[in-house]
Amino acid sequence: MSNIQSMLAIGSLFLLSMVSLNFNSALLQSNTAEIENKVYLTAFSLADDLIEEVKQKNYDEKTLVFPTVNRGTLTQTASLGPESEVYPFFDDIDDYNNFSRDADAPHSESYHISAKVYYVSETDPDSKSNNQTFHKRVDVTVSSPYLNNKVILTFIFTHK
Amino acid sequence: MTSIIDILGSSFIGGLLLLLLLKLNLFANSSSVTSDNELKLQQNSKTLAEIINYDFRKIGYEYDSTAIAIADSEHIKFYADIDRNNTIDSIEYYISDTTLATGTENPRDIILYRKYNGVAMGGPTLGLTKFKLSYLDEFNVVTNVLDDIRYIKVELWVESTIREMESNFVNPNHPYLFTYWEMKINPRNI
Repeated sequence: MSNIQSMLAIGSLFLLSMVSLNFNSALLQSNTAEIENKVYLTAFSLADDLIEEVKQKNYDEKTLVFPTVNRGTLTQTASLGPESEVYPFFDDIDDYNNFSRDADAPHSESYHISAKVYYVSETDPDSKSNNQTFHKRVDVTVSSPYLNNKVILTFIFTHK
Repeated sequence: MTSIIDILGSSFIGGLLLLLLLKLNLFANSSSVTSDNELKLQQNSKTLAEIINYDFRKIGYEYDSTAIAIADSEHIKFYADIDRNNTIDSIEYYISDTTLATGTENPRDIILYRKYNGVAMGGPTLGLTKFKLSYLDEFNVVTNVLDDIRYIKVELWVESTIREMESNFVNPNHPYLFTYWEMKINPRNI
């Protein structure tokens, strides 16, 4: 075999191994995406469950008995969080601030669910407010070791 | 001698290449079928979830007494003016056993029935294999006291209705894709 033929054979073997490697990695990626989709679906369900749970609560500790028209009487921004309540006996929305728990589902275990609650501007619900307003935003985050990205669902509650 | 080695070597490499191409082709086909089935599975789950969600959110609407009459893990009966015609309707959800869903390949699937004012209607199976209801009070604690129910947790186990032989994620003894859907519904009128 001449040198040129040897070089060509080595080159073709190299190309073959590269194609094989790429093919296997494509196979793996496809399988990973298939599993991840299922985990995402459950993560969305878990986030939605928590939002549904929060919907049942009062707007604020100060409006448990009577509603208010005075924003200043609402819980201050720095005090958002449970007063003395312990989960699951939360009574208002901001008790869920910094709340977190773990959950398992048939597809995969070790979901971590956490929530943040803060006031948002009444004219621009995307911007956080440092003062009390009649809009509270709840961000629910679900993470899992099997997810590349966290699932974040947001809901804005209004004082009625 | 060297020619024979050359021929054997090139045949071996050519064979490997052919096998690789064959596998690639098979994988592309099976991947397309699997993702199509997976999509159908998720659409079925969402359809079932939307049907249930639509009715359960209205539990107790315009009804002054205890709105939930039966609260079992696979059977619920409740009252609501579901069609807003000022008449209280009774709605029931329950499931069949696995023998009734004969139109699909999956031996485990069941039919979800919706009984509206005494008339039962079962839709297509949509691959539902397990349907579980849990009832929670205002503190998210499981309760069986009908008046205390504030949340209904619905869990759906849905499988593909046709066999999935190509996927790597199915049990060879029961080759069907599987998905799980759960939702917690807080009917506003109870």
